[in-house]
Amino acid sequence: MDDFTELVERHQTMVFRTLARLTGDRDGLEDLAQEVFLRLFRALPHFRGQAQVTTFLYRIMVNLVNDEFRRRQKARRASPIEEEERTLEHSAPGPLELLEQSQRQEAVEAALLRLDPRDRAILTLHYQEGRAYEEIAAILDAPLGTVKTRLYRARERLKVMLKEWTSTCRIEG
Amino acid sequence: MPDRRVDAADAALDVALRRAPEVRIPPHFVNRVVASLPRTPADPPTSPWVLPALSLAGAATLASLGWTAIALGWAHWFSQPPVLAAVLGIEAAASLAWVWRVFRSPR
Repeated sequence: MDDFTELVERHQTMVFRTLARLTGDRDGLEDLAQEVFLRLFRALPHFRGQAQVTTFLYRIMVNLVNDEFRRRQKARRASPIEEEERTLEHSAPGPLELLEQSQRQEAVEAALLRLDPRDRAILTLHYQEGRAYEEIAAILDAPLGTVKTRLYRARERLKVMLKEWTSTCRIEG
Repeated sequence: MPDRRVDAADAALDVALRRAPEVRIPPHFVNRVVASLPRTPADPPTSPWVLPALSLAGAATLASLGWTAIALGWAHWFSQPPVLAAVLGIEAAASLAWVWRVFRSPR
């Protein structure tokens, strides 16, 4: 148990920052991070050291966030207060407003959230976490070529989104 | 000039993507995680040879039962369609119950 405590202490910052970018959320992070470590604990007997613990943790996080997004989508479809949720979503500052305030960082965060969750994961793992293509392929259980192609396309999409928003700002400004 | 603008936009995007969001880790997070862990240790992983070995043992048992039935002269009795159907039904139900127990039971 002491070993596991040490493991949590060593990786908690990485888990929180990765989850923050993958979800674009800062509020529910603690619960998600707790679930990540719980899943790691359950999986440890099956962990034979073929991969690093960090790779294993990234895989758990990507799967957990995908599950969470699917769950939210399903709840949104089934929920009678769908409109209320939409209103809440729109009340958050959109990329346009953020760019107007010259907050490029937040605009990029907002644009990231509009990407496919898998593409967002690839961008996060590559740029923020500095993971090699091979490791990302192992984390996502995807071919190396697919990872490289998706990374390039996702980046291009981000650029297009930011460019469109910038030009909209100029027109409206 | 436009190329330089594109380079600058690319570089700015790179910086934004590399910059990790600021997060605040609750002070007692580690304690909370440790407290939430299950008390009983997780089951050790099933060895890869267990399933084939059990299947072989099951097949050997069935074969020996068949051989015994033939040796006792019950072969003609088993060849009757209702008896054969009943025996096969019981065997299928037992196999399904075993498979369900192996794959679906909580670990």
